Amino acid sequence: MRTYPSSCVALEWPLRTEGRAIRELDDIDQLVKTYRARLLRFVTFSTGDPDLAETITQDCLLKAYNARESFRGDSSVNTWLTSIAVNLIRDHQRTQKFKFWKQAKATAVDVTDVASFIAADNSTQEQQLIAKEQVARLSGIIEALSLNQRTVFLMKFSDEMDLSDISEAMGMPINTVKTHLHRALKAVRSQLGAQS
Amino acid sequence: MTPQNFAVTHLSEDQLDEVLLGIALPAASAHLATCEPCTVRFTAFQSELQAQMAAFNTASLAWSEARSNTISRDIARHKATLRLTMPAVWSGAAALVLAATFALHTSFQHGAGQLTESNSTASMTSAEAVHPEHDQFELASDNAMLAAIDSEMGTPQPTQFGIYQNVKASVLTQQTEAAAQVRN
Repeated sequence: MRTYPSSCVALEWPLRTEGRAIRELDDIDQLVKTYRARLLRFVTFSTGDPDLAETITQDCLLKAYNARESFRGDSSVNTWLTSIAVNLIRDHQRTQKFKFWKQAKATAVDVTDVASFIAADNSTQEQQLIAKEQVARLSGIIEALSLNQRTVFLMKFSDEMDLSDISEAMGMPINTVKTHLHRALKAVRSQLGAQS
Repeated sequence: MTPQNFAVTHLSEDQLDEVLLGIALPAASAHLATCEPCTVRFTAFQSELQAQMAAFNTASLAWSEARSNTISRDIARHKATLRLTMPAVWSGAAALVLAATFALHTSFQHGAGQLTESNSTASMTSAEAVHPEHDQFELASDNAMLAAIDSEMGTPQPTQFGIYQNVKASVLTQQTEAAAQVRN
């Protein structure tokens, strides 16, 4: 049974909702089970490096678990985890001192490999081929976006986050988020139009 | 319809994006609901983006789930390692601090010892006052030694000339005795 610090009572935390979130954070195995795949996808397509994404995702979950006491419950666990992941990605971008080695070491996302995960459900082979093409096409377009545009685009259209949550996770004003989204959509629109 | 009228009456790309993002002004949404050309433009892009995103999201999530399963035990292992290593790290740090403190203490004492040695002559007088019995004995032995040295120094040492005179005297004595024996 978790005991809350006395400051929680003094600050009159909404313990009902935060208690739920903190309990969720307490169980690292459940945390991993619920969020790792989504985080891994987000970080992979944000950085374009699956190996680095694995490291960042692991770090992100460990960091969240170790800092669970500081989670105030103002946002959802998902938004909080995403903000940690964004900071880790930024840290990585900032500390790219040995860029040459990092670039040499970096592994690109194998789009064909990703596209092969299109479920072989009731769709025909032709439909599956089209879907695979779509995946490859969109992956290429996303990769061409700037880091901020790519990140907010993935948050909005892949993770289906609200603009306010994106703003919080990115640590930037909502109008800046809108600007990045506008630019990303413009690029996606022009690329889709050019390719179709 | 002139291009100018088109620009004025129809929604721009940014406005269509705002509708797509769900942040459009009510006027833009109202226009889209009644304007067929704008609806066509909007629906064309929306449906294409949705189709692309649906395929991308399905495939990428399945891919990351599969990839995530291959590293499923790492976090638990890392957590266990962290649990095991953290006390070890703290113990190591504590041992290091103790060792550093001991080393500092020892070097301080060593330095102090050297200082004491160098200042021993200067502090002799004060030491005497502190240990009178020990110093009495030491002074007595010192005095005895000095007296022995004095007596040794006071004894006249035979000079080279003295030795010569002694030898000469003994030779003369021997010669005198020999002459007397010849005479007899």
